[in-house]
Amino acid sequence: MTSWENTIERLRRTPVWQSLFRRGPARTNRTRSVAVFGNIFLHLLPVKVRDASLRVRATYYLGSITFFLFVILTVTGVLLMLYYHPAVPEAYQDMKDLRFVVSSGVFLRNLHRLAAQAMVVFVFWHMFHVFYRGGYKPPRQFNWVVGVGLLLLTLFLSYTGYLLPWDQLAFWAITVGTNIISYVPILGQPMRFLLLGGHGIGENALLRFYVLHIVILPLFAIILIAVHFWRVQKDGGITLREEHGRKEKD
Amino acid sequence: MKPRRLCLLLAVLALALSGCGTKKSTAQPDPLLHAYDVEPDWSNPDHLFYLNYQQAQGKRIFYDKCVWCHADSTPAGPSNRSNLNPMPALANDGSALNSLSDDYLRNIITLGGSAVSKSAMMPPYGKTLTQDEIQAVIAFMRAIAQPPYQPPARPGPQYSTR
Amino acid sequence: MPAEEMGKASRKLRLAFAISSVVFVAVLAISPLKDYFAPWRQYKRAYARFANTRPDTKRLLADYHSGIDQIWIPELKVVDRCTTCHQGITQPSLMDASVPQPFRAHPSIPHHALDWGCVVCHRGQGLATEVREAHETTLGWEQPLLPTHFIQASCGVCHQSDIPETPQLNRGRQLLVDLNCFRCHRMNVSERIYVPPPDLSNIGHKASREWIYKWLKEPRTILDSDGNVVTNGYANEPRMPQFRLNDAELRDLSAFLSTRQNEPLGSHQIDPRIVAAWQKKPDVADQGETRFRQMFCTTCHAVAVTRAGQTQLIGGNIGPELTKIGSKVNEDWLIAWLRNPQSYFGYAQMPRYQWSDEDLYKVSRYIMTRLTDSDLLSDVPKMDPPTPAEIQAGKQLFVGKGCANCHGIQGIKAPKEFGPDLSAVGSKTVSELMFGDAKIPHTLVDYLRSKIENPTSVNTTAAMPQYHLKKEDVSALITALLSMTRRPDAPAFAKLVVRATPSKFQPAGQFGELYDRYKCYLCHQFNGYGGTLAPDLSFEGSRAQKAWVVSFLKNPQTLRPASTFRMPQFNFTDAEASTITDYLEMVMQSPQVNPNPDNSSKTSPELVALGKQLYEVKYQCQSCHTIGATGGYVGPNLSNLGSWMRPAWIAAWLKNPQALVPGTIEPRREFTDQEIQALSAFLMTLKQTPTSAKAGSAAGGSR
Repeated sequence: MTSWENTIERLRRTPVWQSLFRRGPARTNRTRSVAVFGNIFLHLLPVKVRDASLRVRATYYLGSITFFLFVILTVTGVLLMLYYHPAVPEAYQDMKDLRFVVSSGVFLRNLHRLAAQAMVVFVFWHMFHVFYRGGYKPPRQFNWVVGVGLLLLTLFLSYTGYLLPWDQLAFWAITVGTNIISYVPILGQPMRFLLLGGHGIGENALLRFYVLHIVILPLFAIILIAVHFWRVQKDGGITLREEHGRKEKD
Repeated sequence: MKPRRLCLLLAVLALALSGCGTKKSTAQPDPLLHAYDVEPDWSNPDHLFYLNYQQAQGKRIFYDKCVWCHADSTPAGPSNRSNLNPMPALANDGSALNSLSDDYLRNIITLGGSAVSKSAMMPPYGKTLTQDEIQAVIAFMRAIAQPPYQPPARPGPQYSTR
Repeated sequence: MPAEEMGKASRKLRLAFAISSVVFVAVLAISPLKDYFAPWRQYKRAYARFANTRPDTKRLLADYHSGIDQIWIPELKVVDRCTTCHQGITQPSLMDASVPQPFRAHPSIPHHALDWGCVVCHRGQGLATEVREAHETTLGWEQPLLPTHFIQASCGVCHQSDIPETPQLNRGRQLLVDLNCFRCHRMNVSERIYVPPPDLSNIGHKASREWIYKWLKEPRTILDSDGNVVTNGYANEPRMPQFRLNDAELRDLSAFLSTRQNEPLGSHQIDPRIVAAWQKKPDVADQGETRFRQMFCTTCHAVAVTRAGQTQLIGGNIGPELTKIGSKVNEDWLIAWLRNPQSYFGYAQMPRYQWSDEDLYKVSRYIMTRLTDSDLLSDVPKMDPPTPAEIQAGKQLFVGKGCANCHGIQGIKAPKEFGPDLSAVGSKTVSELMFGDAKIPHTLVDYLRSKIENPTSVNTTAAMPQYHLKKEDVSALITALLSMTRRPDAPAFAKLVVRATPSKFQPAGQFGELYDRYKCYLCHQFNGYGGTLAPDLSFEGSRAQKAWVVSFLKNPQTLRPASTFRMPQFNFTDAEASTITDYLEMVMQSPQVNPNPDNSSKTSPELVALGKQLYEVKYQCQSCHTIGATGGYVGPNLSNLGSWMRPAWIAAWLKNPQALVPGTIEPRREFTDQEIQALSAFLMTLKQTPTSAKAGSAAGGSR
């Protein structure tokens, strides 16, 4: 409809629009590349991808799913933070409130918990698949190390999140875990003290685990995820060199 | 012997032997017979009334203050009821009490018999018992009434007819 | 693919995307829909519909809103969401039984629900808004609702002393003391009057080895052929429970106990002349029985009487029942005991009467010949004299089976913590209880019931002996146990606890000696301390006239038809009677009664006539009180009131009886001062001359 297109055109010529969208719609490959380069969010991703890498069987999208779960965890985690107090009697009561009072509180909490468990599964699966496909071989060794770091962060995030409901399961799991840590030679005891903020599991431990879970570890995770994506792009993408018969230069 | 006579003899024998009952012929009383929230029907001790909280409190107050005149026997022996003329109604007498409204009973208990043109032998308990306690006693009396008490279908009128 | 085609999704992909988006949104809608149809919302809507059918709809729906209702009291850490479904809890018009649950109102109680929350009394999970989670034990919450039959347990969490509104709890607490539960299990029991188990250091003087064997095997002496206790009076089972002992253990224990003779017997000689005089008389046992009756021994000791095929225990349960005592004790011991019980063991609660030798002989003959059962020991095997090995084994059993926790023996120390600590048993969760092989529901209440009724049901190696209790007593015990909970979390609760006021009344001087000797406190209360069997004497000095008290002590009569027991005949000497009376008059005064009122000018014939008219016509006091031979049988006989009570007391009593004796049956009327004067004047004229007094007491004394 011409009048509709006219309206859009007129809208496009306003200064507000022009300050938001500096270049017009991208219709050629060159303008598309420029759009990707110039966007703060998109420039982390490669401008072009080989369509072979988009096939499901290439990666089973395991890494992407893991990242997607991480996003879900972040969003549901922030929503849960609105209801949660990291203090000793309130923590368990807040769990009860989420279940009984908050609208869709059960769904929110379960989504967070299930996504966390699924993320651990997928992280391992992704790791095994990358290994199977040889995605650790040069020039991708560093990315593998970053990936291992991400694995450890995922597991530690899961562990710190486990304590937060402050129920019997949480308490004793943390008791067992920190007691195991204390058996590390030389550094074991100080590590346990650092982790718990004291000698026993109480309010300090809960607070520490909470800060670890929502700030420190996610911060490192986001940094490492960014590095991981960047390295995937710079190391030549997802497909194998042999498929294209070209020598990749670092 | 003829078959008919045989049958008759067997029937008589069966009838005679039926008198030999087992030990369990009499019903065992409910083990909670004397619990604070159970009251045996005064006209039929095998039948028990299970009381709710308010009725149990009413039972307690009744056996403390009212049983001496409004029952035929008390924990201390025979009651005072037969000494009185006119004889006070038994607390479980449905035929006398069911037609009286709760408000009427509350009045007579609170203000005494002479305030409702009845015998002055019934003292006023308005200063001795709280209104909650009096309501509890009324609830207890309604619970044990024989014939059973049917509460009115709607909340009672503001002024009782009696 | 050409550059222009890039970025355009294929038709198949677009379709897949569309379908998955729709599915995604549909799945996302499940949770909000579940919220919309949540059970608590349905209950709320049902309440709104129900309220619309009632005449007072507006009031019922005044606070109605579509969200969750909760009672939130931060100081007490109360967050109770029960009122979300139980919408009508505080509506007085919904108290009727025809109102469907959960909308029915709470019965009227002294504590308002909104000030306290629900969980403090009913337990359960207050935070929940789902039925199962709120009411039952679930994975996330281990404390279910308290069954309403035991609701008085929650009263007992704060009310440490007995209140009249909790008869079941009071009974349970009394049983915990009477049955000596606290001797093996640590628990908080309020101090109350009770008769402790006897010291056994000298039991060898008292009973034979055979009797001890029989007693340890089966402590209940009144059984029918099926082994059922047939008594149905108000007195209880013997407080000694039944231990599960086999023949060897019985032999060992009886060997040990029958050789306990630490000290020689007290004086048990009767003047030989009296023995010689009475021995030959054929009616010595009958005379003994008469004396036994006259002294009202059955006020404290019950005796089983068989009438019309039914056996009943008649009498009190302060001392042991005496139906077959003659087959238990030997006569020397009996005489030493009656003469001076404290010589047998120091804390014996039986008073020391002034027995004459003649009475002692007659009564002991009666007991030894009539209160016997020749079949009592027929099933006890023949036993040789005890061997040292048996005695040693018996001593170990005495400690190992828990006997030492209740019965003292000189030189034997009772083990501490023989039974588990029960001071927080009411808070125990199901996961802390071992049910063993018992086929009972896994709840705390069922566990307690099973354990009390049969201790080996949940633990075959239990040391707890077997009690044979009536079902309502088991319920009472469970109530008392459930009231003993952990200290609540909120410190504000600690301030709300109503502590038991421990009181000990220990008079000194001559009265103190008599008080200890005759154990007045077992039946009478003095300033809040004592038993409840007999009237409270805290204000007796203000109440009764001196001369009357002296004559009453010499010859106790029935005064109050409502009390079931009679004061025993203590045979007070004149000096003793006057000591007691003087003390009562001087010390036991009520602050509300003027001890020296000026009542000389208060009487006149007109006033007396007015008082008589008020008594007989306006207030009809004769419906409950007897004067002469007519009247009612509820309150005391007033025939001798003028000599019995003081006028100042009568006036104060008529003004407000509950201020002087809380819980008295006398109703409180609003007499005017003039009416009180008139009634007092009339009542003070009611005096009995000695001849009419004898006739009066004969009529009043027989029941």
